[in-house]
Amino acid sequence: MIALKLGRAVSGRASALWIVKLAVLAVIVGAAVFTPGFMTPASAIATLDHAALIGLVGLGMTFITISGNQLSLSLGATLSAAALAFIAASGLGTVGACAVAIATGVALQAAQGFVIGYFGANPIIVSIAGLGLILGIGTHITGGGEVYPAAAASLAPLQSRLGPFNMLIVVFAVGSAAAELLLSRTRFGRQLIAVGSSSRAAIASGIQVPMVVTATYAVAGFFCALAGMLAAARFRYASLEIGVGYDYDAFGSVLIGGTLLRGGFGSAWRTVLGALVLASVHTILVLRGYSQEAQYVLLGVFVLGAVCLSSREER
Amino acid sequence: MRSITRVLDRIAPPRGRPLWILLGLVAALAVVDGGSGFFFQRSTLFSVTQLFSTVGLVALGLGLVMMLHEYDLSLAGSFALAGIVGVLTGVESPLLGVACGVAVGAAAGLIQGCIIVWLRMSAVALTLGGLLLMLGITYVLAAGTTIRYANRAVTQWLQASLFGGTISHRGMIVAAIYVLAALVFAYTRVGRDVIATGSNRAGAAIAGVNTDAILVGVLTAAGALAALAGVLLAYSLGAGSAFSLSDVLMGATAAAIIGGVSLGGGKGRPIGIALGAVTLCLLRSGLAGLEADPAVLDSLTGLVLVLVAIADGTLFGQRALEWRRALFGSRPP
Repeated sequence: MIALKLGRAVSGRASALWIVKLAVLAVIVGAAVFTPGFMTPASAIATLDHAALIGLVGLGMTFITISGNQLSLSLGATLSAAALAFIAASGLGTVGACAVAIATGVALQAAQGFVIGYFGANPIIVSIAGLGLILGIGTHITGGGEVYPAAAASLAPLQSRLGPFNMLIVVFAVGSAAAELLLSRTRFGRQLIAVGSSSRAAIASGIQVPMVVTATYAVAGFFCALAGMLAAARFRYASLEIGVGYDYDAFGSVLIGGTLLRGGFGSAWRTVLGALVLASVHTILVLRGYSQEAQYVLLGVFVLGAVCLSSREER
Repeated sequence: MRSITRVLDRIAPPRGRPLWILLGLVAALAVVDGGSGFFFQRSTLFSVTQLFSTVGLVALGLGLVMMLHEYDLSLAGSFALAGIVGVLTGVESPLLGVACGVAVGAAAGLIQGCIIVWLRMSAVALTLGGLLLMLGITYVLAAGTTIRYANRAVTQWLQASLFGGTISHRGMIVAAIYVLAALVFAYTRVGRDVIATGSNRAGAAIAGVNTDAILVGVLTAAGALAALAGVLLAYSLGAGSAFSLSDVLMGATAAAIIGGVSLGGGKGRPIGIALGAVTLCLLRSGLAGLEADPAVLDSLTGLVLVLVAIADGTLFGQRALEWRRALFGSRPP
């Protein structure tokens, strides 16, 4: 029986896919080993730190991708908006500022989720409109500049450390576990996977699809808000620029993890793996002295490759 | 005279909805204007045609892709990259710069189209990868800043106003391309094949349409159109720079949907898209006359896009019916 399975696995298209994946992984591991300075504690923490920031947005994107809505292009802007809200509300104390930031992130994404779920509007278009609306209104309010906190003391708890790990890494670890449990152990998670597999079947089995889609985007907004307020506490300011580009990294980590683009299949740990891969590549490029621009090009290649591989897998 | 009406019948959008929306907006702006004259002046017309010549070509390309029930995010990348390529290669000979820029956009569309057809995959995800790659190359070429275009004569010629200050040479080029697209769409098989492919791809293939060729061709054309828009804008601004995704795609998508294209595919005509783009530009120019913050105008485009996306949603008809029943009881309308 096992021999049969193995035989099937090493033949045909599936094995070709695995060879490609293992080859890419081998190249990354090889580059990591031969890059001086990668195998040091400092570089490991920096890699984890980067993985945590893109991973938090990636966890949010995972929910959207599993729900069958492919991707959102407004998660980075939502991160910025939550960061701005956090800094603006820093006078309310740590808990108050966090609550305002989370409420902002959840509201911005849940509104888009409602439009998508209730009216059947195209998720990509709605997210582009959301991006434009957040950037436009945000620029109008902030004047396009940076916002500094009124009470820097309320940022302090988010800047604290737990052993060698900073707060961002701790929140990412807890958030990943929570996302995995939410997806695999709760009624919402099962309904989400049902909606992603087949929206019509979900309606027929009595699932309130608009509600589930709205909740999905609300969860995505929650994770963006976490990333936003931790980034704002780190940099001690916020601006609309702070979240630019995180949607792309996040989508890249979702696909590299192997969550299916057509929806209905995926998990949080896959995205964590994807984020770690992307962050390692980022660290290698930084250590080898490549520019920010070159990293953009490589991210494009990664997403293209992951999309193509993932579409082969879906058949 | 009859031949002219026949041509108009053939290229005009179905049932004229985009036209009614445009006329309604003009009437509304006229009421707001109330004879004060800030709206009804030549400079408004010039700013509309200037905006149109930036949004219009991307809207045409994106509209054609949407007619096929697909969506191309990479047009924003073609737009930005072609602008930089045009500026870098076109100082001596602007036509060479246009050719290089358009070739980049067309090649991007061609390659992505072939991959989509070969792997039978969704265009959105693949074109996101294409977008990232092209934006990355744009950043590498521009090294994070704007690149000045040194050939001032070309900038002045493109911006020079014609016909009593109502349209620039750039606007004329864009209008000419629209006329060409409308004629091709109305008088060749391509138009019908695009609509057939967008309505029902499997059915069209059975009926003898080469749907793969249509998809690759439309994506190539869309890439080339977006690239041309990027080069023309870079030349007339005298500089090439990177743009954000929403700058390019938001207006183009809204224009296409207002112009009668549906995200469900199989609907729309080039002239409809032109009317949609003019409507959007008029709305923006009209409100710019009220001296609103440009950021507010950007978010207004976003709001318009949300509204048209709702109206174009797959469940919109069902929800409207539910509301009518809830409001007026359950008797059939």
